[in-house]
Amino acid sequence: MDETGLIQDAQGGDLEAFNRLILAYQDRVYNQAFRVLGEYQSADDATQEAFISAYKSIRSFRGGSFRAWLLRIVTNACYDELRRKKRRPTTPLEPVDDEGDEIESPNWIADPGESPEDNIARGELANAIQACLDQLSEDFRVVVVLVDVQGLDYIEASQVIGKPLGTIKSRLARARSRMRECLQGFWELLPHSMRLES
Amino acid sequence: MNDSERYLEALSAFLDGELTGNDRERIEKLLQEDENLQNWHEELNRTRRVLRSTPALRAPRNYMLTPDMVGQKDKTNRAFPILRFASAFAALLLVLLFLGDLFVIPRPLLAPARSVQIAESIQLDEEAAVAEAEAFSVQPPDAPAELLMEAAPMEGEPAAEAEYDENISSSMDSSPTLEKSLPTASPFPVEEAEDILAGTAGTLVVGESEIEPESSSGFLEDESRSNVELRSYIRFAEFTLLIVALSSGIAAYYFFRRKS
Repeated sequence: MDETGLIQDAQGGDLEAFNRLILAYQDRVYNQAFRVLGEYQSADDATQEAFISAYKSIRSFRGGSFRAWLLRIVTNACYDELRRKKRRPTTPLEPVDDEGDEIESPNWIADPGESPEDNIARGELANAIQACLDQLSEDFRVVVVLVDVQGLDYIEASQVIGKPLGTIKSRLARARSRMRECLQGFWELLPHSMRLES
Repeated sequence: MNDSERYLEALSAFLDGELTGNDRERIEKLLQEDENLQNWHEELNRTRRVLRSTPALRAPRNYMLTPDMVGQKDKTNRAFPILRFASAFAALLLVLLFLGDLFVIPRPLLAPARSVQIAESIQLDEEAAVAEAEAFSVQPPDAPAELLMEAAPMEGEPAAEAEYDENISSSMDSSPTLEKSLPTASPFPVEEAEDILAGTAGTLVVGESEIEPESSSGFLEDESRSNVELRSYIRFAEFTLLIVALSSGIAAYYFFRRKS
């Protein structure tokens, strides 16, 4: 895929070229949205919004890492979604038991992106990680997802969230420390080589 | 920021290879000396590996954009109905024009044939008339026998003979007059043939005389010429409409296939 050529075509208004870029990046963008928001529906909405915003503002892309540019847009869409949720808190549709406690949600179990076999083998660990990510503050969560889940380096992460490198280092260290504490509660789910000491 | 936070940050950056120069050497030295720091390092490394083992999700659907989503007017959607209408309209006009050309507008191509037919008839009549006149003019050699027979009793009367000569001469003199008056008596008027042939011959020769077109044939001549011009315009319009109908139809089909 000639990414540069497609970007130039998209900047000229070629929607087909931009759609080819979407096909190349939609998994990564959706992953970022889901790991930050923790809900499939919200992640779906944020991903779609991000691509629409990206197309409308693609003329402002001046080169560099297109992946970082896209992740910045989806991260901003996630912040918007989180702010919207804070303004209008919604009652979860997950079923509750007689005592009002939430029954384990199908969303918590199901992972539409994986086959059933993969889901069984890896679902529990993924769910544990997501549960711990959800406990982090938004700023820490975004940084740890960008660096440890998406695999960006510090400079790219800095470009995505628009903060200096020092902020990235600080937030990432704190986020990892809190993730470590959280994951200790799921130690039995971790592979032996990854089990953490309490 | 206390020391533990500072060490935590340094260890995290060290794991990612983001420390350089003195900072890196310093952490490496501390890790060799401080067992507690080694444990932190190990825990952070495992946490980092756990996070990096997070399975990547596939997008649940395609997020490809449509022109409606981005407020972009689809040129294909606009072009298709226009081209489809243009093709249908041009085809309809073409059919109407063709039918009108076929049944309504006079066909001048038939006129020359008819004019030739009329001219030939006139010529035949003319020849017949001339032959009749000749026959009449040849009669005198026979006539004297009859006349002589009738006039035999009056043989020797110079006056009768002179009258006979005068009759013959007068009848011979009158033959050209008869020749000229024949066309007027023919069932096909000369004017008609003249009118039909107008524009090609200009004049019609009947026998030895040349008849100049009369002023009344000018209108018919103009009408015939305008008919020919009209037909050429119609041919051009039919050809243009055919091209428009075909090209817009093909383009509409192309956009339809592209859209679907």
